Amino acid sequence: MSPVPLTATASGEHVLQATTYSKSVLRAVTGQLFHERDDVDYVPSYEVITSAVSRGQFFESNLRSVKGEGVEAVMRMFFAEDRGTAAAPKSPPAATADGELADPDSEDADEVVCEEALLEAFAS
Amino acid sequence: MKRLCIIGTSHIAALKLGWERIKENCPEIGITFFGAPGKHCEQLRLVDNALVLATDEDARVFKRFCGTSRVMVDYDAFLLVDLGIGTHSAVLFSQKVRTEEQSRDDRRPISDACFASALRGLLGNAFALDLARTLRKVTRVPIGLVPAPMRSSDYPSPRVKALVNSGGDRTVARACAQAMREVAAQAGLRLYPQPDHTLDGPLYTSPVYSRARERDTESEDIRNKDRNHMNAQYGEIVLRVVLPDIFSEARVAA
Repeated sequence: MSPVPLTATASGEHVLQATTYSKSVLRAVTGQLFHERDDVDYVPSYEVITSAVSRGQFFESNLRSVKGEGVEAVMRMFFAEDRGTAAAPKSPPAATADGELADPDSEDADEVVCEEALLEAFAS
Repeated sequence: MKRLCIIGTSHIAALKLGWERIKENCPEIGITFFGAPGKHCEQLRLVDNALVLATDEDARVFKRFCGTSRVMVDYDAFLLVDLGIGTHSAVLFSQKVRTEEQSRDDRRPISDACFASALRGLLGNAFALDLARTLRKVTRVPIGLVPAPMRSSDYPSPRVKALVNSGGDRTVARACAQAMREVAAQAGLRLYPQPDHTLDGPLYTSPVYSRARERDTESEDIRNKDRNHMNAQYGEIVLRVVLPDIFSEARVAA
């Protein structure tokens, strides 16, 4: 999630209010996705840059653009946390050697099976 | 003739197969099956007193399986199958949290009351409930809910295994059943839980009802190892519970 604040808004509200609202909505949605889906992770770039503990040190003097050091801090954290998995494609689970699905709870894996179950039933 | 419309995910397949076995003995009942794999079901909309699909893609999929992409809502009863109702979401949720009875591990501990409340929220947001509310706008006929069957025990899920190991499988099954009852009651729907005698433990179905049992399990094709969908015998059992009840007026929700 981007830590960059809005510069303008067509909402009719003050841009500070619009920024907080916009970020809050996005943060709530990303949080929900993270909690509901096992294949979604959340990278707290927003928190790293904007948190009070960062004392604004990652913003340029315009208090909007993120400094290179800020970007580096986020990316360091990202690669440290997701080493080896960050670039992994979200491919459907493969069958294991014994022919069973690696992740039997996966909805993706079930898609073909679902279609086949229906076709079999409705062909009769 | 009483007309029942069964709407749901691929789990309607077992009911269709079961119906083929018993329909000769039920000349007073007609059943229309309307379903598709789960992801294609969530765009069902009510237009001019008919349920239709929002996208051409979903409509094509429904037509492929059921021969139609549109059903009128003038049936004498509706039965909603799966569409998010079942233990799946509770099992998934339990990967992140544990209740008081479960052994300590790195999941977040929450109270039984909090867990129950969360399950009510999860199930209350299932598409089946959305669809029921949509139907309620235009009809007062009985609407039943049939949860997705649990996975066959000969195809154990890593997530359920973890729950069994932590002693949480009974807790989760019990809490989920209670949440389903409450959500159904609140929405004025009739819940037809998975029959106890088809279960093999709290969160599994007995393998004899698995669709795969009737297939060549030696095949390399993973479709022949389908332990998620149930067979005609299972579908018949469910229909024998549903059909004598679903048309009765006594339980029609106020």
